[in-house]
Amino acid sequence: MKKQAKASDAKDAQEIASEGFSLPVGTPRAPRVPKLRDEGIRRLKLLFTVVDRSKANFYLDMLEQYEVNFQTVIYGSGTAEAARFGAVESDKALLLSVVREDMVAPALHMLEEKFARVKNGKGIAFTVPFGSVIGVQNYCFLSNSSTKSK
Amino acid sequence: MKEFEVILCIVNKGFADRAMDAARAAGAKGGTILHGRGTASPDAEKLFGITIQPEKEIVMILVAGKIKDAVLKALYDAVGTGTDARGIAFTMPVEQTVGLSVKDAPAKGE
Repeated sequence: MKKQAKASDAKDAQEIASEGFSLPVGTPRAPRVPKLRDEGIRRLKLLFTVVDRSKANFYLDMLEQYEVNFQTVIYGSGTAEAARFGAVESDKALLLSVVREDMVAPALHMLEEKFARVKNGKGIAFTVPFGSVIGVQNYCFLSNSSTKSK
Repeated sequence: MKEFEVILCIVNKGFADRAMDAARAAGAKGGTILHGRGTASPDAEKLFGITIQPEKEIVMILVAGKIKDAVLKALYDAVGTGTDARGIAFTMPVEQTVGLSVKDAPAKGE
């Protein structure tokens, strides 16, 4: 058993060396941190949606249907030239929504349809990838997934 | 290179229009101005002899990846840390977009 363990340690050290690090032979390797995709953990995206302020609540409710647990609204104003002459609404709302990656496509599809069909509902939306999240509970909350399955 | 990038430019209150004008001149189409409050370490302020004006404006601009650098340079020149706007700007990669009209997609000078 000991021989086997030593052999595997040496193999680990060789692997590490081949990855560009140099550790003395026999250095036990730290346990592998599972990659997110290995575990079937789905990544999160931050969805930015800019719409007229009067439609903010409408879009918040719409996005909630896509398992979005955390949303926040920031009020701002648009910079379109036409807004200076009162031709378009300049009061805008920026909705920040944390969306699980598998729900991004359906959510964007819904937004695209609503932007085209809802009166005064035009807007833009885009996603930015999340870098990292700290805390399993936070991740479960943001992704709307149960801790039991992890 | 990403097709689109979002630029966030944080400037002192009252300078958002100058930032937007500079970005427009570099090819950006439009943006959204948000209001915020800046904070800084009081020790750092003393050490560097600067005062951080707490009221800030954040200009969020979605631009084509190809003109990102030109817009950042324009922002740096017009509202950078060397100006009264004391602005900082950074970009984040955008993965998917909806709601942009086709004419918005190609940037000026392409």
